[in-house]
Amino acid sequence: MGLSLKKRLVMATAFIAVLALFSIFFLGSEAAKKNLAMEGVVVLGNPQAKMEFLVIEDFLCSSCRSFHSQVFSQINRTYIATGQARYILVPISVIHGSESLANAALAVYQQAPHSFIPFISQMFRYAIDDEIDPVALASKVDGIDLFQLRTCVAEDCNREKLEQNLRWARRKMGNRFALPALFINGKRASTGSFSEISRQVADEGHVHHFDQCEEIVSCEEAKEVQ
Amino acid sequence: MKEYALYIAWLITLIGVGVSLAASELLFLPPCPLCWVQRCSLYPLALILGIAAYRDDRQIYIYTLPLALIGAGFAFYQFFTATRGCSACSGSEGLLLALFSGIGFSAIAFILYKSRS
Repeated sequence: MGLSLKKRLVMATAFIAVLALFSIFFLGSEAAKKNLAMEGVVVLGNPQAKMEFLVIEDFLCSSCRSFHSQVFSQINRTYIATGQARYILVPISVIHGSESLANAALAVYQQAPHSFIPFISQMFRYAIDDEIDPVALASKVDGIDLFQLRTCVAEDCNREKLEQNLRWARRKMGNRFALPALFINGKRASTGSFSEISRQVADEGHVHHFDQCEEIVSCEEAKEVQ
Repeated sequence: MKEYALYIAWLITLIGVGVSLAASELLFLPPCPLCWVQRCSLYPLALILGIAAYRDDRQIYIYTLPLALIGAGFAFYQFFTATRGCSACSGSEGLLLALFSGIGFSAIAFILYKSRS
């Protein structure tokens, strides 16, 4: 005697469910293989440096603002400007209203890399809610083509890159998703203070902590720059 | 309709399994501890209800109804206390998933209760 209609239905559903399960895991493993796309990030400093700072930020996040004003300037002076490290900034948008700021930041970096740091400093200083127009902020910074920037912001030209950045950031941080996130040579680091960061840099061994580098010439040079 | 009640409950469970796996594997939303408790309730249901639907075993509600109620309880708890819960689930996507999870578990529990012989 053949199977009843209901049993056939159950078996067909089970077959489809197993196929769907395999598809999810296959697509998931394919998506996980995708690395961070370099066209969606900002790279500052010496690209060949052995030390790498990777920072994930949202331009409306208050902790990111504190990090930028209190810590980034020292990282910039000590490691980026001296060519000891490269600094990769991954802009993401998780806070409502920060999309246009992240979009504008990438657009400024693409058209005028030297204006990027002054521009994000303006953003962190004045953009405390989603009502700030990034083009108005850009007008206070030299070297930015405002018409081009306005067009890019209006067309949301970096949306896909920002979405990709967010997916990548979620995958990288998992349950420890918090902003700003700092990775020094791939290892999660504290964003609390510059002294903690420089201690971790020293532990990494590529760049010496200034308290420990009396005998090292490169450190002397770095101190002078600082 | 009562004849297909177990099958419908199983179908809802399968959709739940698919959504939960897609959220973590494709959207990279990390499951928080409360999400894991709900998964612990949901995944056995996918197997048990499938077998029960095939065998038309309506006594299965004795085993599956508690699982569905536990899942619903945790899902609604997560939905209403999301801001105090894990940060990964306090976003709009996490809240929406918790709400759908609560509705799904409640629907399964209701169907199982109504379809008992």
